[in-house]
Amino acid sequence: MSERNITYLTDVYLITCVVDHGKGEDVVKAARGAGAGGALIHSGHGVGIRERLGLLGIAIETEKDVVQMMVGSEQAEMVANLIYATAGLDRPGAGFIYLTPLETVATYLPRDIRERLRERTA
Amino acid sequence: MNTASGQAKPTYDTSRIIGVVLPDDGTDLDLIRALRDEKNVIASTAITCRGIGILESVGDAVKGKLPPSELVRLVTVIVPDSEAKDLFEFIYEKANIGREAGGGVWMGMPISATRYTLPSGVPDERMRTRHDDE
Repeated sequence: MSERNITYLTDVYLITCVVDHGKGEDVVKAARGAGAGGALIHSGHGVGIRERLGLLGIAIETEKDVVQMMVGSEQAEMVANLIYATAGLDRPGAGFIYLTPLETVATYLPRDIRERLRERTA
Repeated sequence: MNTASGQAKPTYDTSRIIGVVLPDDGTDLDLIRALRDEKNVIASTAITCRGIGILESVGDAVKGKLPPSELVRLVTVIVPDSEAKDLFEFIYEKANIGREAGGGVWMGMPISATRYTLPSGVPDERMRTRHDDE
């Protein structure tokens, strides 16, 4: 099965950040400023603090942006801190962020990056 | 499993979560079908996301703006811990991750997950393929 010679990347964290709809791009911009690369953004519906604020108990559905990105373990905390500050996650109801350690990542790597990795691990 | 009070109680297996980011070209459906047919893995989901790639962004980005995003699919699969490495490689091969702009695959640390089963005797529903829309 491994004839294709998969390059396994390790020491990677998956950062997931849930913010208000429309704020996902700001999160990605902040993360890229700290050296993160690609990101995924998708929508979700939250049921949180705002539901209690509904008029006469009518629930307010809150649309959220969910942002996911993979970063190296040495960058993870810095990226998360920057996102936290930029997205104002210290405000109640603004959103939250969590980091998940990943065991393995594999993706297409251009030849020059593959060679650089090989040199570093040699 | 039921407790003395009659309330269903979950049984947890040691499992892994595998996430696969794929281009929106139907590869996700082919992958889910292959996982079901060839590996008997049925606990999988696919959602649509906006993806901002790493490689394309380097030259094209306007200062202060994000590079254009594109539609991608995120497939999430829960697999038994004992088969995780084999299935990770299977997914890499089947989804052709190693091609340029082919996406990526990641595997998380061991987690606890309930086993997903289907009722017996129910015929498989025909899955859509990427050719259905053509």
